[in-house]
Amino acid sequence: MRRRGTAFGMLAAGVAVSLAVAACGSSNGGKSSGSGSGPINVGVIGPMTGPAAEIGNLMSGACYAAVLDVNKAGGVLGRKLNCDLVDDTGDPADAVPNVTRALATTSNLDMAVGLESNTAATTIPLVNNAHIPMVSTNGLVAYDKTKDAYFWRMTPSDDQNGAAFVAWAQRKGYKRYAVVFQNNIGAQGNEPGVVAAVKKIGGTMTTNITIPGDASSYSSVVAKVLAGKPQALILAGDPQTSATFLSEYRQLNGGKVPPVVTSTDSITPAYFSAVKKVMGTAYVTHDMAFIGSFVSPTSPAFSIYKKAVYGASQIKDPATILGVGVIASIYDGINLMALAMDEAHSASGPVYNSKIEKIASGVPGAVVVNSYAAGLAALKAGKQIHYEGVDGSVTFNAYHNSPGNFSASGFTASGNPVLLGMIPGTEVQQLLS
Amino acid sequence: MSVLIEAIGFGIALGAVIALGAVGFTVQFGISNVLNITYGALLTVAAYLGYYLLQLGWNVWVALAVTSVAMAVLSVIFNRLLLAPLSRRGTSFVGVVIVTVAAGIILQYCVVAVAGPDTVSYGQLSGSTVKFADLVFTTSQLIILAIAVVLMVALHMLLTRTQFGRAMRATSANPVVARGCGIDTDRVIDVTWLISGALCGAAGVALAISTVTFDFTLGPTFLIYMIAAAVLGGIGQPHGAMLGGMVVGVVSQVASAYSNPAYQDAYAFAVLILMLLIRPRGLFSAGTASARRLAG
Amino acid sequence: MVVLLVYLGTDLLAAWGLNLEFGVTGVVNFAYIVLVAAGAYFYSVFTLGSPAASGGFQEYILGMKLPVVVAIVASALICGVLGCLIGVTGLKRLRADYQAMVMLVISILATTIIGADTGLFDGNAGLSLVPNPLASINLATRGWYYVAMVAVVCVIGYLVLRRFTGGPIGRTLRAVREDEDAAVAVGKNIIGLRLVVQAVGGVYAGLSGALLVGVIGGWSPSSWEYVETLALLTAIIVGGLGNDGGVAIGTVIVPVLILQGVQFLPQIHSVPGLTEDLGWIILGLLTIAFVFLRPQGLIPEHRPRYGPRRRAGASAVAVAGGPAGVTLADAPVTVAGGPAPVVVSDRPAPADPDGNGSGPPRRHLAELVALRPAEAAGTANGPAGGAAAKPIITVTGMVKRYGGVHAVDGASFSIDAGRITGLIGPNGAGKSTALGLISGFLRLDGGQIEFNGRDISRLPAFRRARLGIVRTFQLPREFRALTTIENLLVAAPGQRAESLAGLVAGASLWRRDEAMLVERATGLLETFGMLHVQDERAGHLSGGQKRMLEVMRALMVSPRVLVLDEPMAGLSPALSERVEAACRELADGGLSILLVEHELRAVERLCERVVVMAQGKVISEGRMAELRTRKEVQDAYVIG
Repeated sequence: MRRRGTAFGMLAAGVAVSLAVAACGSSNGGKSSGSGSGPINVGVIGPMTGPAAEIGNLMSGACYAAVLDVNKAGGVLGRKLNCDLVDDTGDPADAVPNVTRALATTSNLDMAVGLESNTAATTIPLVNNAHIPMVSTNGLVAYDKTKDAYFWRMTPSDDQNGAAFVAWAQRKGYKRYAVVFQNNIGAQGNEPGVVAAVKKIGGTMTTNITIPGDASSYSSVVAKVLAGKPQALILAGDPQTSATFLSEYRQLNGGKVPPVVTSTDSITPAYFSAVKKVMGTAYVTHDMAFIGSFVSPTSPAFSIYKKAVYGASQIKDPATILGVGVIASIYDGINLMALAMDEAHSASGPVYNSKIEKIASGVPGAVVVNSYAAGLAALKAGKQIHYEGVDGSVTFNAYHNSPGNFSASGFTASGNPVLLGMIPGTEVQQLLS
Repeated sequence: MSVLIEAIGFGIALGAVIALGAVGFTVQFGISNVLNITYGALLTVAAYLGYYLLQLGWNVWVALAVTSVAMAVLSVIFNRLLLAPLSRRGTSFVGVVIVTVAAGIILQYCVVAVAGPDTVSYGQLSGSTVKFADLVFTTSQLIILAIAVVLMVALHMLLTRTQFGRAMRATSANPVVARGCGIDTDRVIDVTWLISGALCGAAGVALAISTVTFDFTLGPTFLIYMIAAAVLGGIGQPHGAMLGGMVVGVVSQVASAYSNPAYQDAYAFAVLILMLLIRPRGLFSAGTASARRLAG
Repeated sequence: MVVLLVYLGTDLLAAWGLNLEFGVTGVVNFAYIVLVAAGAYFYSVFTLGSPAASGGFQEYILGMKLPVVVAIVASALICGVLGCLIGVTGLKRLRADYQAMVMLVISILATTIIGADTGLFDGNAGLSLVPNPLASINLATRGWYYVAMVAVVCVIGYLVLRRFTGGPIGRTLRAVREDEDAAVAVGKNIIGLRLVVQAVGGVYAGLSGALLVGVIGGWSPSSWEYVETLALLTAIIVGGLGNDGGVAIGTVIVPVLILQGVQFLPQIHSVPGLTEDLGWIILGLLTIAFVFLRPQGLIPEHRPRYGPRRRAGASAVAVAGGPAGVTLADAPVTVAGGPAPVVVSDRPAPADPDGNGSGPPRRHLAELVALRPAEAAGTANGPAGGAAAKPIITVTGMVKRYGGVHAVDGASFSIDAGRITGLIGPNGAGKSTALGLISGFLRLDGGQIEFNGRDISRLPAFRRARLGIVRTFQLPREFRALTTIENLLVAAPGQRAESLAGLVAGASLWRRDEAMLVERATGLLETFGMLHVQDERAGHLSGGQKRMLEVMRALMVSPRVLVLDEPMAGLSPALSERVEAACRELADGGLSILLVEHELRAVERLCERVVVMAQGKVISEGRMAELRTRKEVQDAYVIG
């Protein structure tokens, strides 16, 4: 009963498709409409309900912030931007009908963001086939070398993230790592990168173990991990699994638990409260590092981003959104795509798609802009622009990927994320080479 | 060697939780012949009830007792309101299963509506471990073991040493004959549901102590282990369910110590299926099964 | 719209398959969704190329890049085999409740293994980039082609399904659902039937999964948890158990209920997700309301009627001399020598619709029962002859223990060919156990049972029934949801409609046989005065009628040895007399009968030889009149 029934969930969604189609009386066959009137819709494709709803919440927050800025600057081509939340529930079987419905029935759905790992492999082809440019935050290694023309990614894939875990642990002086991953999708994606990186730096992996989620006890696993006397735990799991595991670790090890290195996927209020309750605030604030996409809090774009996040009325937990670097790429992505539309004078995907790379990487002599408003003004002045957003300068490779740098963050005593340090992307790539 | 002994110890602690729930499940199945999926949601309700009582600053033992009593009453109401009318109407086995699933969904989402979808925790009850030779237990595990041992011994005494226990076993074996022998079967059924509910309450709290952190899916996730334990021991056999719970707990912990922990449940369930191929009616069921055959 | 129709189609296939298993045959398969998942999985690994070729980010086996049609068919067939394997767990005759729980556990076990095993299944990540079967068609129109393809599969699926759920085989399967033991008693191989049904159900599941994953393009383990099976079961129960059309409606309605339930709720913004939670609560309430208020489902299972008109037509065929007519014709040879047919009906036969005289002549009971010539010959002496009758069944040293109790403790006796042998004894003497042992419903712990000189001690019950050893039950065990006449029809032995040929060739093969059976069944009903209730559901009959039905059904099997377990208990004197007369006529016609009865006067009137049991042993045997005087018999009755 953990899952909210799917066979019928799917059908229910399907019925909704038909009702929606009937109601709107329009089906544009999944093609980007391009030239239209009325607001341009940004499809935020992510889990709005279900176990991963927190991620969807973060994604939509970034969208609201970007839309606020874009509309304040006068919109795109004189049209307003609007966030259209598409619930993929985190389950491919539900995602397909929901995304199909959104593509078929939403007018002016001209850009998409989100499309995270659980459903990416099934939803990205749909969006790509509809010729809608998208900035995805998924971590699938498969998309390191994609040929999908409308796919763009400014965040690292999971194995790079895994290598970054090790890079951070090494920097902290730890040599013996216990690797404990819950057997869910994101965690399993990180593992190969961790293993490769540990080997590369000549560290010791005391244990490499996959654990089932939400078990009532991990005592035996903990005993096994303890036996290896690790200096650091590279742990990835949902809040409940992590809390249970760490609590048992503490009890069986006389109250001591080595520091944890994990992913920014976990830097959420739910994770904070679950782990704090069993481990205490001191441990959570001092001994946990969350590795993810780097966002420089001192960059000019960040202050604009921060203002927007705090300014958007729909956002309830601005601090969390600001702390998750991956999410900033959604804000950047929307700005980038909106500027590309302006430069192409069209909201049609096939027309403006090619401008995305140009504006992100910049051409010689282009003006560097840090916000949509500045970019729009420069374009109107007839200049070439180079957008440097929260993620910093973006250089897309041939596969539309730009992994960038990595950050390590921690929790403050009140549960807000705080930056601990930066890991250069080059360092991480080296660990994987 | 010490790895094995340690794992067995952990297995016993885990088995104690499963056994508590499995015994509650099995006595209730024995008397009503209903595969009661709602039991999972009731476990969740118990865990949350315990959580709120602890939030009020109550002592664990008091919270446990109050939760058990509350769940006992709730179980009787559940039976009287929903299951008893269905059995009077002669609804099919699967029809009743569907109803219990539906009731489970209702309860589960009532919990979400009240408590929200986020995880909650009883917090750290204490942080130390206790060693007996090679066996190591955490304090939480000891608390759970204490709950399980006390309740199991009490139930055993009730079943074997009292008039009521005999009446209960008779009703479970054959209600028609039991009624014929002058047993007030309606009362026996009510009291059985009380007992089952109380065990469910205790199991819910024990489960919450064991998992440390939980959310509204707690019960249904663990119901399956309890069902496995109950079937392993022979459905309707409280002693069988105790043993079954231990087997499931120990097998999964030992498996997790010696192989990939991701498969720990798979081993426990595989043991169940193997056992059923050898003894189709569970470990403890020889007596009643043939009795049922005779009656048929 | 396209996606809706595809999902509807695949859900329909799955629901039909499960309805065949559960709704029609009564196999509770809580692991059904595992089969759908397996279908989807095999389709995926059959059509995907090697892991490296498809991006190298997922691990799986096979990767055969088979043509899609081959992949779909192969997945469906594999699921058929898997369905059988799951069915094998039922081979040990696990109780239904055990089966249900074991299936649940298997379901979870499958999810656990899939989630943990990256090598085979790519773990919880599942498989992506599964090729669409219609990948060659342009994307814009592909959807509708897909719908058309699913629709075609559904139509074919429906037609094939009707072969199983309709006609005599559907009737037999429903009999298995209603009462397994009674089905065994009339010679149905329920294990075989169940396996076939589970194989077919598996094929439907496999098709459903393969077609679904083809359109989704990805296979995720989280889509196939056991809740899905329960959702399908809900659709079946809401739609109408055992009714293919009703199930189709249920499949459409259940999700609509979910949807509507949520749609009509006001959005409560203060607590996010609350509306959705309420939606689930409403779904739960609706399901419960349904089971309470309309337990039979929206469109209840309907049964064919065999009204008088139909019967007249059927008679004409029979009289014209169908294939079975030859067998019937052999019986009267001996009957002719016996006494005139007894009119066992205590009231005039119902008026013939065609007018007196022109209707078919009244048939001998022996003829209706289709007594087999071998037995008839065995009784050439005639019942009146004083010579010792030849035994048809000999029981030697029969033992049955329950724990430490010896229910039957070395009993030896025989059943005379062509006569009525009585078996009496006080309560607890082991009579019913002995009867269960002879008919094969209980396993022998010692001793031997011979039938016509052949050792049948190890034969399963249904084989013994097919040999002609047919029992009745002390408490009537009618197939409740079948009509009275169907209860008889289902019992007929060797129906070609139940064979593979019958399934393939369809009604053309068995229509004539069926007409013959209807003729026989109506004849029996007429003889026992129950023609007027032929189209009633057997569950609605009175207690006495059910008892009569029990006897008639046994006769329909064309028994050689009829084992009657207290057939007269609770019958009115008039009905008792009718049963008694029937027994006598049947014995005269050459049928061997073992009569377990409490009503000793009836036993005295009917039986030449009576066996007395007490405490699991045979304590005496002989004529009833002699037995009354024997001390051991008197003691047994007084003490026992």
